[in-house]
Amino acid sequence: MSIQPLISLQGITKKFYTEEMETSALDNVHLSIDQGEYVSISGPSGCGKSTLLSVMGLLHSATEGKYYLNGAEVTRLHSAEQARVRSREIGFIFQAFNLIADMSAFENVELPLTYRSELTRKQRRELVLAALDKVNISDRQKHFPAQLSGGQQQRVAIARALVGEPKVLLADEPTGNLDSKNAELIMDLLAALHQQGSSIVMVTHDSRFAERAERQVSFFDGKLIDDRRIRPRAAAITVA
Amino acid sequence: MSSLLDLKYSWRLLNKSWGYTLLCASVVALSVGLALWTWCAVAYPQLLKPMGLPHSERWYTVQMAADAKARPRPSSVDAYTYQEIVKRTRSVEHLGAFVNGATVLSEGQASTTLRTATISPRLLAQVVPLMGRTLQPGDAQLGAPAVAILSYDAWQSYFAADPAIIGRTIRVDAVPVQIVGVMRKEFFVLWDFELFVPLRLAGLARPGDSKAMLNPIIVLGPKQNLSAVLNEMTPAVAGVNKNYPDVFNAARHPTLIPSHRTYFYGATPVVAILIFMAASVLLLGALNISLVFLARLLERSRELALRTALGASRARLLRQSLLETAPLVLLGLVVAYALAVMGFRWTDAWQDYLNRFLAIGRLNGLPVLRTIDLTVAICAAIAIWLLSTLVPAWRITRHDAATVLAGSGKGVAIRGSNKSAGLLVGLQVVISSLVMVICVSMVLALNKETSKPTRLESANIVMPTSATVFDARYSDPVRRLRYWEDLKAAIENKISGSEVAFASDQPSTPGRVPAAIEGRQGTERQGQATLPFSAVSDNYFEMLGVTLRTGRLFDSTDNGTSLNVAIVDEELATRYWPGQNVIGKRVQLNPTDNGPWLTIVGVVSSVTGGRPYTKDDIGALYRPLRQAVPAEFHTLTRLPGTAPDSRVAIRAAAFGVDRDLPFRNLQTLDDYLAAMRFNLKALMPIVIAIALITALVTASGLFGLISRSVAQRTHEVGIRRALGATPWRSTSMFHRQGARYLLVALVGVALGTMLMAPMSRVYTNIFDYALLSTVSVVLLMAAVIFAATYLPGRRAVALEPGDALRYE
Repeated sequence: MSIQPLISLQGITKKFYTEEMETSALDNVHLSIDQGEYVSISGPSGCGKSTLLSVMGLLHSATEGKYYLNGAEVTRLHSAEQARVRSREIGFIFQAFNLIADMSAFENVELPLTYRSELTRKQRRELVLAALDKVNISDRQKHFPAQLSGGQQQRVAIARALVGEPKVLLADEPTGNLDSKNAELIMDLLAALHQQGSSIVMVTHDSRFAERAERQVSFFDGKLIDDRRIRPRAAAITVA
Repeated sequence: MSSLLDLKYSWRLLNKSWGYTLLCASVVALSVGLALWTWCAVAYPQLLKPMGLPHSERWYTVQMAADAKARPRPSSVDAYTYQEIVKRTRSVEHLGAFVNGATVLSEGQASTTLRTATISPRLLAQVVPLMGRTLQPGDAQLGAPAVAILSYDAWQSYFAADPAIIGRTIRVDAVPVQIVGVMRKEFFVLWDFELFVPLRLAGLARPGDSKAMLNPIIVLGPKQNLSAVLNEMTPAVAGVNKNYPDVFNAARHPTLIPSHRTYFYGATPVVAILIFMAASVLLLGALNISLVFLARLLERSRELALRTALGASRARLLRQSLLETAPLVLLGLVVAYALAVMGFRWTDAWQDYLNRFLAIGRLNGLPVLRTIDLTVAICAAIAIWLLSTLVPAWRITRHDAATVLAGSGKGVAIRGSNKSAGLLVGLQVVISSLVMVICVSMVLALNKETSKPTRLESANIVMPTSATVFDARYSDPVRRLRYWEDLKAAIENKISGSEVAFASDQPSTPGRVPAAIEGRQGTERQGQATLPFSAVSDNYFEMLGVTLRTGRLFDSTDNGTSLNVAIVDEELATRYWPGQNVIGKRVQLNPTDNGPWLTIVGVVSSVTGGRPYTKDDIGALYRPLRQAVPAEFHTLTRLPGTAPDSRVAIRAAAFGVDRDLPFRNLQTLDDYLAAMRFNLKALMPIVIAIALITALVTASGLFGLISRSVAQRTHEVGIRRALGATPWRSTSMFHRQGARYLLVALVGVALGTMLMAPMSRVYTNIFDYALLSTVSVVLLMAAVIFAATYLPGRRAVALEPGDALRYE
């Protein structure tokens, strides 16, 4: 039995156009990520790491190539279908947390669920509390972002990313705005989530954190230049 | 369920920024409220409200413009011209006429004056009365028994709703008249008439044979059109003008006006100006709201991008944007409705006051708030809401979420949005400068016109607002003279210390009479003119404080057997005999009828301030009452300084002399003169309100745009300061932006000044203050623009350069 990859990028090219010039951010990238994998993407600034994450998260469309998510091609989906995929299959973690200042921690975590009409209020509440519990921040659920430390904010952001039980968590420099202690805590949390079965793709240029993944992909000038497994796959992998 | 969350979030945002909430709601309230008031209180009642008769949309009133430049007026068609029009006009279903006049009803120990329509019976053929019958063609035959129909109110007020009123004979203008019908309560056509009597016209040989001034009405058939009627009517009028050049101007021409606008047609330019201003303010409001929403959404573009990243579809984001702006629009609408209702009450109150004061009954043009108007207002507000929210929201949601999230929230400079916002603000500045320059000029012009001194000593003088008209019993001038003597004696006996004078017209608003000026050559028709004219008693000048400048006043020797004399005021003397000694000059009145030649024996001070904006009425020519013996007159009674209001005594004295010549609506002369200016004075607060709303909306739009621009470029300010720029130099780009808007404001001011040219036909002095208003508006706009650029710029430079560099 062959295992279908969770993410399959086939010849992905992403170009940005301005009035004067064309910039190639990703150049013919081929990459497969399996369910339950923990992949770090690293490289120097401007190498295309974040663009790759945007393409994976359907925030940018590829200029060329095909993108399969969980076996289905999502390269040319209509914007409404892309939104549907984002709300159900993908969880984002940002460097700057991107919490909404006028919403409490609970409401921030609940936000992606409100875009899924099939969930009742009660179901949403259960899922939010579970997510907050998972990142150990239930006691701060009524606090607003300004009342939380950076580490706590990022934990709320992670809870928001995983509350919808997405197929994959996309983390863009999740420790970039944190001090070393909080950064360690967040990395421990991501590791724990991976242990529980989450698929994680993390962009980072910190080699210490990149090595905590089980697979490390390196980019340079929009090209994938290295893809190596650091350690064997975790045992908790299940096939979707 | 998620809508509830969106609503809850919207509420939180609105609560958080009260200034923004109040600004948006105020802009919606003021612009929609003004539009609603203008439509319901002015535009609909005066332009569109139909008459209460079936097929009345096919009724047109014929009004005559006295010359090529004059405006058509009600009751402007003389009986002879009407007779000629009737002969020539074929392309109508029916042609009739009515005279808006007054009759005297005397019953028992009381007499009163009724607003009376002397009307062609066929015009009332469709009317179903409450009791009895309507007028019939036979009633208009000469020699037919005199009949009349009462209005519902007259039946209630004067006959105690007598159920046996039909067939009863009453005394009207001292002759018996049989009541044949009572109108329904809701019946209202053209004017609030209390009595309807048939119009009877004998054949006339020449214009002077009848003094009646008519309102002809044509009723078009289903397939008939106005141009065919005008093609028949215009030559008929031109023929009369040609045959009687001494009476009518050659360019006198008929105009057909929808009958429901008979008494409002003259106000069309004012209504058009108000509609234009209200529409401009509504447009300003819509632009402002769009700008504010766009700025708000741009500030939140990062949040919207985040929502996109979390799975929100564009439709969902649009829905959320709508939910966020809906409470603002709803709140604005509620306040707009409240403001409009307050406006209706205010309009209703001053119109009611004026109608009561002048005893003209109800008007067809009172404010009316119909369900359809409210529905249209709500639909318009919804359209503004949808457009002003969806267009900016659509633009924001098109931004690349990944780019926005990678950048900073506030610093997402979207060139297209900036350009759109800049254009919208530019448009706002043009419209507001245009509206404000018109408003300021209008207010100054109205204030000047309504503040003119009357130069009359009007204190303690009481007079009827409508003329007392002699009936057929007074065809002999001797009897009229005797009546005046008796009346004067009766009043002065009843009220000790009072003084009575008579005049053919109200002071400061003389009538007009065709005249020939001896020896005046080179003008139209060799000295022919239409002069403001009034016949007055000997003591008139002294009573009203009109002082003698040269020559003499009238005295008891100026009677029917002596030399016909006249007195002119300074204005008239300067106008027709500039630099000459006027004493001894001669003027012939009614030259077509071979009227008398009058010798000028005196010049008196001028009186002004009667009806505003009636330049043709400047000046006056006076004749002694004993020589002119007019058929209608006003009685002026000066009460002794300490006397209480003695109107009852005056009425009793008049009743004692002749019960069939009662005084109608006695008022003080001061109040009457104020009432003549009341409409214009009431217009001033409206125009001031429009100017203030315009200034507020524009200022908020400018502040919003430039504040946003500063927020976006605060980082740039930090860089400039880090490189050595002074605070003023580092914010110079905002001042340059403001200077560009000042140039745009100049364009608006220029356009407004151009638009004042057609308005000067109505407000003849509007250009008197053009320079002052232009400078004021430019200075105001400069102040607003400077404040809008300086204050946000100051905030930016108040930050330490290092903080500005980190500013998001």
